[in-house]
Amino acid sequence: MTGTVASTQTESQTTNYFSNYLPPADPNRIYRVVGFMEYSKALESLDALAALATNYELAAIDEIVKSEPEFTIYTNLARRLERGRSNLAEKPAGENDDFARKGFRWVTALARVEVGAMLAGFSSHPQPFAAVAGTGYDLAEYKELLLDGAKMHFWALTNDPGFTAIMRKFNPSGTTLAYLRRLNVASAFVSALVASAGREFNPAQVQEVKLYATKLEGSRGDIRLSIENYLQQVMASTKTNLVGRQDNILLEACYKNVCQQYSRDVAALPRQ
Amino acid sequence: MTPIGLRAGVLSLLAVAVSLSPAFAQEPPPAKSAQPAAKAAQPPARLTPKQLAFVKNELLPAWRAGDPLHLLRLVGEQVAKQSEQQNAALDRALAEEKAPSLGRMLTDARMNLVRLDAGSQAPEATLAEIVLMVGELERQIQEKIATAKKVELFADPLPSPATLTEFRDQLWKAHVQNNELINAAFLALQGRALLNSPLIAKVKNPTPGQEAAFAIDFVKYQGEAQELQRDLNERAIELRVNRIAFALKLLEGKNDLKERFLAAYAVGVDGEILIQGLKNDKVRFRRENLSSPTLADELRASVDRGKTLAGDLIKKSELLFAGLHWWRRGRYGRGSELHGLLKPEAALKNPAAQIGLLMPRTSPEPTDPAKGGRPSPDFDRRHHWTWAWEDRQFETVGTGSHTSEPVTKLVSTETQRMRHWDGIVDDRFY
Repeated sequence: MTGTVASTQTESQTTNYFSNYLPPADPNRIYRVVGFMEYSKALESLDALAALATNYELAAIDEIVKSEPEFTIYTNLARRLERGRSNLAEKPAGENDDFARKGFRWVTALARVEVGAMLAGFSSHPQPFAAVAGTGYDLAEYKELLLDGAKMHFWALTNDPGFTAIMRKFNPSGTTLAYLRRLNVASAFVSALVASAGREFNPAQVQEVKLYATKLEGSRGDIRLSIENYLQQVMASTKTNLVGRQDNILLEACYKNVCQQYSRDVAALPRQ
Repeated sequence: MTPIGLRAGVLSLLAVAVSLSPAFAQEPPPAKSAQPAAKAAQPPARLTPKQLAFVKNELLPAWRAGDPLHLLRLVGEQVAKQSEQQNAALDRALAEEKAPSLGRMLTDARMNLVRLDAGSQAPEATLAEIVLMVGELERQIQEKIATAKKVELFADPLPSPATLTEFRDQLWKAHVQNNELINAAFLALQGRALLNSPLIAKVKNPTPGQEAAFAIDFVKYQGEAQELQRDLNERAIELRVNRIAFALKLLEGKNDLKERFLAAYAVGVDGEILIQGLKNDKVRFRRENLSSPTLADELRASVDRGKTLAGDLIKKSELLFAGLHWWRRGRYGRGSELHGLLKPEAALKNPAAQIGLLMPRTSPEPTDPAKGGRPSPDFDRRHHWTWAWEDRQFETVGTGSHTSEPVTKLVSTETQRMRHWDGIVDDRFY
C-alpha cells in the first residue's frame, strides 16, 4: 500500500499542524501469514508430481493421502451461516454425508484456495486465484472450495453486526480497513468462482452469484467513497504546503490496493 | 467460535484473543507455583481485595491478550512488591482461573521473546522474577527430558517396525523429541544466564526459596539434554539404515504401488542423505552399528540397487512427501503471533524466520467444524481468519500523537504444551 497524504518530502513541514493519512502497508507482510510459504511450496511439489504421474500412480498417491486422517478436509462450512435456500449448495455425496473429503486432489485444492485468498488479502495481485489455479487436475474440488469460501465470507459479513455498524457510519480506523480486506477477499472468491464454474451455472445460480457480487461490490464502493471523502476532507482542512502529489497518491491508495477490481468475471455472466 | 463472531481490527483482535484462549487450553497449564519457595513451610497468605482486583482486571486480561512485553511489565511490577507467600497465594488464584502460575507466565513470555530475537525489548529481570523463573525453567527442562526418555527408540535393541508406516511413526516421534531436547538445552542456557545476574551476588541473607533457586544446576541439565539428543540422533540414523534394508526388500518383491512409493523415498532420497552424513569425517558415532568403516559402502550398494528397482518413483516420491510435508505445516502449523496465524516480524526480512512453527506432537485428526468442540485444525480455513489482521490506522502526524495502535500480538502459552517448536526443515520429508 502506497497511500499516504503526508509524503516524505513534506514531513519536515508538518510539525505545526495535523495531517491524516493512510500509512503504507509492507508489501512483504504476506510472508508473515502462516500458510503462505507452506502451501505455496506444497503446491510447487504436488503440481509437479501431478504432471509427472500416470493415472495408475495418481491412484496410489490418492490411497496414501486417504490413509492418513490428518489430510481429511471438511467442506460445505458455509451451510452453518447461510440464510434461506441456496441454489449454489454443495450436494451431499450420500445420505449421511458429513462433508469430510479425502484424497490428493482435495489436498491440492485446499492449498490453492488458501494461497489465493492470502494473495487477495495481502497483495495487490490483480487475479490472485488465477495465479494459483494450476493445470486443472483438481478443478472439481477447487470449485467446491471456492464456492464454500465465497459463501462463507458473504454470509459471515451479512450476519456480522460489526460490519453493519461500520457500513452505517464510516469510522476511519483499522477495523474498517480489516473489513475492507474481507470484502476484497470475498469479492475475489466470487470472481474466481465465476471464472472457474460460471459456465456451468443455471439461471438461478447466475442470479444468486450476481447477488453476492452486487452486494459485495456495493459495500466496497461505499467504503471506498467514504475513505476518499474522509481523506479529501482532511486535506482540505489541513494547512499544509503539500506539493501536489497527494491527489495521485490518494487515488493510488483507493484504487490500487484498498479496493481492487474483481468484478469483471461476474459482469461477463449471461443476463437473465 | 465461528467467523461471524469475529470483529475486525485491532480492538476486535483483543476480543478474539479472549474468546479463543479457552478453546486452545485443552491442557490447562499447571497451576501450582514453580517457585522453590513453595517448598518452605510457611502459613498460606491471603490475597487482599486489591490483589484480587489486579488478577481479575489486569493480569488475566493481559495473559489472554498475549502481549509478552505487557505481561512481563505487569508481573514484574507485581512480584517486586510481594512476598514469596503472596506469590504463592496469587498462583492459587490464577489456578482457579485455569491460568498458569506467575513463574510460568514470566518464563514463557521471556523465552518467547528470546526465541523471536526480541529479548532485548524485555525489561531487566528483577531478583524476584529470577527466583520465579529459574524454578519454572527447571520444571520445564525436567519435564522435557523425562518425556524424551520415554521414546521407544531409546530401547535396546532398537524397535523393529513391521511396516514402512511404522518406521515413519518411530522417526516422527524421534524428530519431535529431538526438538524438545533442543528446547530443553535452550532453556538451560537461559537459566544459566539468569543465574549469572549481578543481582544474585548482592543477596546477603537468601531466603530458603532464593537459596533453592540459586542452587539449580543448569549446566548439568544442559549437558544432559545435549547428551540425550546426541544419543537419540544416532538411534534415529540407525533406524533409517535399517529402513533402507527393509525398503529394499519391498522393492525387490511384488508389492503394490503405494508401498513402492514409500520404499522408493526411503531408499532413493533418505538413503542418499544418510550416505552423505556417514561420509562426513567430522561425525564420530558412538553406536556400534554406525561405526563400521564399511557401512557407507554397503549402504551405497543398497541405495544404488534400490534406485534401479524404483526408477522414476524416486523423484515422484520426493515430490509427494515434500509436498505433503509442507502442506501439513500449512494446515497445522502455528506461528508465534496472533493466535498462531502469524510469524514474527523477522519473517519479513529473514527467510530462516519464516520456517519455525509450533507443530502438533502427534498426527492430528481433523474434526467437523459443524459439530463444535475443540477445532482441529485450529483454523478450519486460514482465510476465514487472517483478513482480521490489520496493523494500520488512519494516522495523524504533526504536533499531536498519532492514533495508530500496534497489532495485537499473541504468544500462546497454552498450545505450546500440545506442540513442539519445529524450527528446522531439512531435506527429509518422510
